[in-house]
Amino acid sequence: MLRYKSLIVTSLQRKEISVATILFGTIISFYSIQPVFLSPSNIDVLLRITPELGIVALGVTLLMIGGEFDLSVGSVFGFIPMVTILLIESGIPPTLAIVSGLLISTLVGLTHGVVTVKTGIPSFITTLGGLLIWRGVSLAVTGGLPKYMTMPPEIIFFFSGKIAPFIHMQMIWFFALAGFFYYILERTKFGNWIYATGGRKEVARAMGVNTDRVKIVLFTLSSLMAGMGGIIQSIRLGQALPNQGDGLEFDAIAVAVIGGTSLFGGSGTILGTVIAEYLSRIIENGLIIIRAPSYYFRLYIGLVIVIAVTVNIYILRRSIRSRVES
Amino acid sequence: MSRVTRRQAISRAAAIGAIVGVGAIAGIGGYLAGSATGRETRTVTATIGGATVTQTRVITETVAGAPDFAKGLRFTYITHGGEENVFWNSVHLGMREAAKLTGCDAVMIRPKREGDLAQEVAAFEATIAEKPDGIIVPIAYTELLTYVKKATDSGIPVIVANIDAPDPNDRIKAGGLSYIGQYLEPAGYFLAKTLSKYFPRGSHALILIEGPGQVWAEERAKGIQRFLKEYDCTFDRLDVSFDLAVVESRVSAYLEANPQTKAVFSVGYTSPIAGKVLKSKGVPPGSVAIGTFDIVPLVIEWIKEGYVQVAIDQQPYLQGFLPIIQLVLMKKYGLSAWDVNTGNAVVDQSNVSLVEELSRKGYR
Repeated sequence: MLRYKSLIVTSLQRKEISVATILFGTIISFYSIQPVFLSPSNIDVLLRITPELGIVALGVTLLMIGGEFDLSVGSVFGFIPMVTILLIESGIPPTLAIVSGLLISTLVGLTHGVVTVKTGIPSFITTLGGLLIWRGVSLAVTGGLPKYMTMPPEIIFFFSGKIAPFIHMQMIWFFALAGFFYYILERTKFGNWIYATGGRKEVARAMGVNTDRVKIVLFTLSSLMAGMGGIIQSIRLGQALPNQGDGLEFDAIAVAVIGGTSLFGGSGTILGTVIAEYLSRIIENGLIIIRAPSYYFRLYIGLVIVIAVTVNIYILRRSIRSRVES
Repeated sequence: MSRVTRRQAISRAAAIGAIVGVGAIAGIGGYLAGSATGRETRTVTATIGGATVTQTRVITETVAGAPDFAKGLRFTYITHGGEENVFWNSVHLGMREAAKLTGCDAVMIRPKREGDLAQEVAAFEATIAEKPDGIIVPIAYTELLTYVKKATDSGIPVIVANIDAPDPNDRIKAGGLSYIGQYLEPAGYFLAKTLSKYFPRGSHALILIEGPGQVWAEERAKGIQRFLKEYDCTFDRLDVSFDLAVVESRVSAYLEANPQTKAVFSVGYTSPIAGKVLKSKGVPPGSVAIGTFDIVPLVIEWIKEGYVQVAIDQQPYLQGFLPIIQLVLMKKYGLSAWDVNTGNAVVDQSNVSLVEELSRKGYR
């Protein structure tokens, strides 16, 4: 009995509990209105579509914990698949083209990072530039038309194949990357540096952390994840659209914030982002299932952001107060 | 990983309880608000006055009472047209009014962002899982045909509206039962033929292409060119965009260099800009015939000015209204779906005032 009690208390002590509770409540609400919501085919749909944007949100979360923003992820999400297709069209084998595409995405992120860190321009501005530039390039190169992505079946399987009922390759990618980042953030020295860089820069520097280098790595990761998500989506849909990922940056930031990442840096978790990503997709899908007009999606996400952040701040205040009291 | 004390954990539990409560209330509230739109009873009376036509129409929305003809039937309209797209508001209005007349339940799913294929596919898959009695979808991307087939295979009838597959046979193979929208190539031909009474045989014409390479634009252009050849005309194609400043500078340069031009067409709605250019040069209305597509304020303004003689309306209201009617009849009486060309409505001086009024209300 005592063990269960302590288990409950321990889980309530996790920061992600608020978003997890909202997720649970949402699932129950949708299910009670329309049981089809939890039908095998709908669960399968949810599991299949969530990872693409989830992978992007992982990179954005790390960068936000490190105290910076990346507004360019939506554009990179569209740009990298486009580059990959152009490479394939110019005769490069698909595998090499995908690897090159991902390499280009790291270069894109590296550029954002170096410009931000070396010039001291706020990342909000540099990546806003990135948002316009990479979208602009995609539109200019294609003349606004979609491009078809024909890949050999092995590659399609590798990125978006179905392994077993409810298990898709993109899910495996998402969980593997989430696990990897969780490990880095919570169990390694570099993870501590990320928290320190985003929390108190002076303290971090005093500790001997090269905050500039940490930030550049995070910008690079953020773009790489955006490129990866974009490639998975394009492979799944069989085409790259010049407007692919338009507005995704705000979804990704919203997901990170709902999952408990602070807008000011220094705080946040990977698990929170993963749960929040599922919450966001579930709201979208559930509204369709209960036949609510699609206009409601924004309203709900707005409500969830306000509620989740309010709770997180409430928790933060409580813990600061108790620290001061003790 | 932040850890807190037991006392905080308990207060946190209380806070979370409150959130779940609020969330549930918001959820149910939103759902009721969503479905309530179909339940009210109200009468709208509008008087439409124009120079030539005066007409009073009464729209009675009485779902709760009279029409239980199609009660219990649920249809879903999935589009690529974002929530701010005005054109799709007219389609949406048509769909809602057909649903009210027949008493069925119809919803339209629009992506947050115009043309977001991933989101549209996600919506399509969720809809198939939800198993409505019918789906309506424009084939804005050929990828969507895969899901038309998926829906058909799982027993949901699908009607294609607004945009057909580039090859209608692909749509038929996927299971799309009918196409309700404008027939693009014939619409181009029809525009050119209708405008031809305003310019002599054998003239020189200009065709503005707002979406070079895009199916809708090229198909309409093909039709215009087909008629111009039959009418012994010469013509040039000028690639432009929907950016009116770009159109103005290119058209003005073209007309300067080619003063023999007697007709200007556009496959989108930008040829009224040619009227603006001519007016600023002091050329009286009617000396160059201008024809265009779609009813937007720009088109209405220049028809009233007299510079634009003909606009062809593809009637988005019908593209929302008719698919619902077809699906209801299919479900109730087992009738088959049928193709409809909604795109041959001529707007000119004689009816522009009426159309302007209706356009403001979202019917045109």
